Amino acid sequence: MTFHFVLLLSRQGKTRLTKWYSTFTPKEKQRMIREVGSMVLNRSPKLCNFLEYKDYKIIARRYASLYFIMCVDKNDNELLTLEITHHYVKILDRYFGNVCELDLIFNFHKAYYILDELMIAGELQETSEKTVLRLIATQDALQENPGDGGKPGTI
Amino acid sequence: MVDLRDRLNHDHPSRPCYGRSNMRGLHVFITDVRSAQNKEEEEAKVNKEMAKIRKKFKEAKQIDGYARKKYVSKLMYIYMLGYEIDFGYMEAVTLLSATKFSEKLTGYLAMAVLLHENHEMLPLVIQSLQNDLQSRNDFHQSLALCAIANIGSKEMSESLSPIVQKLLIAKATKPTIKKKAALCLLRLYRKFPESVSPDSWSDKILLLLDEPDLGSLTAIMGLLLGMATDSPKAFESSTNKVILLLSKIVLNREYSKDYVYYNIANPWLQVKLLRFLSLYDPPTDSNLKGKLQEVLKRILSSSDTAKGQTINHKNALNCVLFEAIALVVAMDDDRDLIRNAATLLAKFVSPKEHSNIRYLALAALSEVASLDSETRNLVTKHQETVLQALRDVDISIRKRALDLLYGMCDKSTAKTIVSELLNYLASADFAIKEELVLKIAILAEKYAADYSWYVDVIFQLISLAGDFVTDDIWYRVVQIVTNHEDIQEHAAKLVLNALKNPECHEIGVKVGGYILGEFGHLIADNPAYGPRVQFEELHKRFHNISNVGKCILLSTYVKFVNIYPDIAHLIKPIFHTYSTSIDAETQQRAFEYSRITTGSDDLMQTILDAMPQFSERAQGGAERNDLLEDVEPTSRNVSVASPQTSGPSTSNSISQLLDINPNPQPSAFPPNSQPSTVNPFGQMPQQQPSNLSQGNFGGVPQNAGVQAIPAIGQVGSFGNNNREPFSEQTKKNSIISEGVCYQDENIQIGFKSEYSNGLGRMMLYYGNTSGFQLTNFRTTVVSVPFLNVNAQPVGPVIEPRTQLQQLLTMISSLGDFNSFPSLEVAFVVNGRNVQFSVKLPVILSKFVEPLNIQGGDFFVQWKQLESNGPHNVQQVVKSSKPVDISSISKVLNTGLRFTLLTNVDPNLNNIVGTGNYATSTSKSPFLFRIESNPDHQMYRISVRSGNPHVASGVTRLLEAYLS
Repeated sequence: MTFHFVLLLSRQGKTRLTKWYSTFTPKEKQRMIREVGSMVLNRSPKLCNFLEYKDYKIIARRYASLYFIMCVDKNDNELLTLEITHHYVKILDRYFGNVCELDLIFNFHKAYYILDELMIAGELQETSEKTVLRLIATQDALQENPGDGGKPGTI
Repeated sequence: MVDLRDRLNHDHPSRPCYGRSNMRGLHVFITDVRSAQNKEEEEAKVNKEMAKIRKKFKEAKQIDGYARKKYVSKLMYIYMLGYEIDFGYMEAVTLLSATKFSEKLTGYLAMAVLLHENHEMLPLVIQSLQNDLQSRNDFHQSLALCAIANIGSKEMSESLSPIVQKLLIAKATKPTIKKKAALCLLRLYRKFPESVSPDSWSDKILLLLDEPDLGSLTAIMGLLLGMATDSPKAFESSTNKVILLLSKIVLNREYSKDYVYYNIANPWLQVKLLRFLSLYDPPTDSNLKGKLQEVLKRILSSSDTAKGQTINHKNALNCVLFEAIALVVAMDDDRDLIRNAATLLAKFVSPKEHSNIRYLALAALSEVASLDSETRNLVTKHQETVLQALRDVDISIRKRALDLLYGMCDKSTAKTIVSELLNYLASADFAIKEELVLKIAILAEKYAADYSWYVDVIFQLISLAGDFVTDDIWYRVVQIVTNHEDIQEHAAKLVLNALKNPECHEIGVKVGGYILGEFGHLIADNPAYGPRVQFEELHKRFHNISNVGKCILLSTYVKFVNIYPDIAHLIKPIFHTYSTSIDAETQQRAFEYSRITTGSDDLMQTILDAMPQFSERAQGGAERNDLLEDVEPTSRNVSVASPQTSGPSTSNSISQLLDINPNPQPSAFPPNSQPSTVNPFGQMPQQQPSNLSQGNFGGVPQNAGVQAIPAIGQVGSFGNNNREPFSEQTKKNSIISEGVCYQDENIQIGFKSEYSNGLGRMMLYYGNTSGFQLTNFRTTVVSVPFLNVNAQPVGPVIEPRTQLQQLLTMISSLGDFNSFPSLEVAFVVNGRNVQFSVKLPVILSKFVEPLNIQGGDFFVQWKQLESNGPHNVQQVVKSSKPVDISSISKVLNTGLRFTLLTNVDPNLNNIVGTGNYATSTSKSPFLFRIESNPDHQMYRISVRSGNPHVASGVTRLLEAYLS
């Protein structure tokens, strides 16, 4: 049960976020983004969300102008992966308050660290929306607090 | 709830999109880049900004934290746009050790985006990571764990794994840290399994499973599942707890409501628990068994509750459901449950369902059908629905449906399914055709009640999709027809009729040629199928087919000459014409045949006697399985034993030599299993066909007779035996510490190694890439004089897509360095014995330690060693590449671990170096000097050492890497 990468593409094929959990060379990464992107972008929305790609399975879902693409092992649970996507979108939506693509462009770093709270090492880390949002809020507060240097912080 | 799928529009009308970015400079920059009208403008803007940042980093001595954070963020953005950034890494790494959280966070985010496991900067961050891991600040610990979990390398694993393990089991650790530590450990374990011993963790995991926090428990289950997949035995003790956890969630509904996802209790955790259980046999304890059954029943009966709910609820429900079904099938101890599952799945396949569900149901039904004939019958009932899915608009669904039809086919349904598949083939799209053709061919053979049906099917395949019929398929038809007398006449008529169709595919011509050559005489009495008709139908195609096809037809013609003397006058001129063909193979055949047909009749009759039957072994086992293997697209290049190579291995009859080669192809057999080569024309050395094509055979017909044999034998896929002592591959592998030392369609062998103080450890990774189980797997290491190798035993079975590891420990000694240790590998894949030998990249230099000698001392020692004659070797090498001292130095220094001394030889085109060959008890220093002549691409190597073996060994290495 492992994610190999997470990819966010705009409808025009622009990359909005890439997160690699398996190690690939830059060339392989470029090729995979290109190949997977063209497979996903050219698919009609009515078809199923699963695609077979090399030894992997691609789970992709479109949210308005953005495609969320996950690459997992062939024998992974597809629907579960699909719901992880939704879980992520839900959290983004709560965090940004009605999220739009530009939020993710201007705050790409936030998109990354929200993802990091959700999953690491290619595995799901936290499944409670509430817990993730609470952690992110604490981190935000900590960032804005100018005197955060000295004392040991707790969560 | 608002449907999120309509969210994430590009822009939001009600809100000017400043986001919450608290770095104005970054925001301005992104806006600016986005305003670019085209790629060129964007590039100009990016380059300008990069120049600015570079200058800032260079000039400002004391750049403050905020500015550094801002610039690093901009660089991240630039990198994400796809531009290479060649600086800024150091600045990002510096941010890691910032005390201010916002700066540290930026450092970590940048590291996650910019660095990866093998990045050269990674070793530099290990210390910062360790500091943060051991800090008492939860946030710092979190960041470090997260970073290690995402980009952790083997090196990190070695130094940080103990700290992570300690964090994970410490009572005081908070859930937020604990879950990160669990997954972090999983990453470290995957990168370097030795850092975590599964056995010692089986008890610790048991304790961790008592964790009340469901978030941490999910992460811990991730760790457990990851480790248990590799070594199930070690974690079997956890099954009880896992079953209890499941029943707590599913039956007792005890869970925190934070973890309810669209009315389903933590589906992620449920799936992990179920998946874990599928690794094991059903529980033996009746109480647990009852509990598990109850859980599964409950899950299976829950699908009806989904009516009218959101799609997310249905998905969450169904992902648990499908996982439960997978477990029911994997355990296979309750037929009632399997029947329930099959009924449910059949419902899901119906076109009314969402395509995701149909896709999964088709896949799950394949699993059900694969158990035995009883379960297959459960699936067969729904054949109609599945056939419908074969025509779905969605390729993903069509593929699943094809797989399922293939899996559920048996004797009783084969005819219907095959004819449906043939119907579908006509309209199927390109992406699926090749697989479809192969599957039809296999089914037709596997379930053929009579072989004439099989032959009919294959001919339909050829006429419907000839381009997708591989050679393996038609070789197989030829074998089957040859071995079954009862269908030979039918087959001959069939091919002749097919040939009459003007659109007959080339494959059809090839089969037609072969079959008419062998069995055409069975129908020749019928005037409609007379010899002349047969010949003319074939010869009509002769000019429009490939050389390979022409060769097959020439062989057919020569057989015709033998049995129908009255059409010989039509054929002999053809041999004559093609004796001067530009294609060597065609030319040679034509020439041989023209000689045979003008020689004595007795000889011709002996040579052109009917083909013997193909051996049973080849037919029953290996061949067909080879064909089956081809279903896996990854093994597409498996060379399948074709008719010409599968003749009885004891046969040395002359007819074999001429008839067996419709198509010279690399064979899967090792060269020594070829039929022994008896030359019908007397003693002649075997010559490669290339010699013949150069036109040097005027008046030497003898050579021609044995042509087939070297053509087949020269490219064995197990050609390692004949490898050069120092092949490019070995050369490459010998200067790296990890890589791949062997790869074919069945197996990939990788290695990782480390050496010090005359000791070496090499971990070998055997990855099964065949799609089948490798059984009887065994390896032997053949050592060499300078090495004492000890190999860990390695297990007899490798499951598909999994890996076995084997540790070799080596002790160096002094001895002859002229050979490599080799690894003999043997296993059985799918009924076939495979055996080969691999050179292990262990060379003298692996045990070399640095030897630093000051300039003047070098010459003193050099002189001292001069007196010892034989230990003083000199060699001149001509290189194939231009002289490039800097790259040679790199290879010698980092690759071969030799110490290079600068400032000794004033001539920059020369290299002077030393080394110290270490065994556990002694050290043998050596000195060398390389003088280069760039104009002639030549090197002179001089090596001196107190030990003759070392001196010649070092010379050999230098020679190999310089040439």
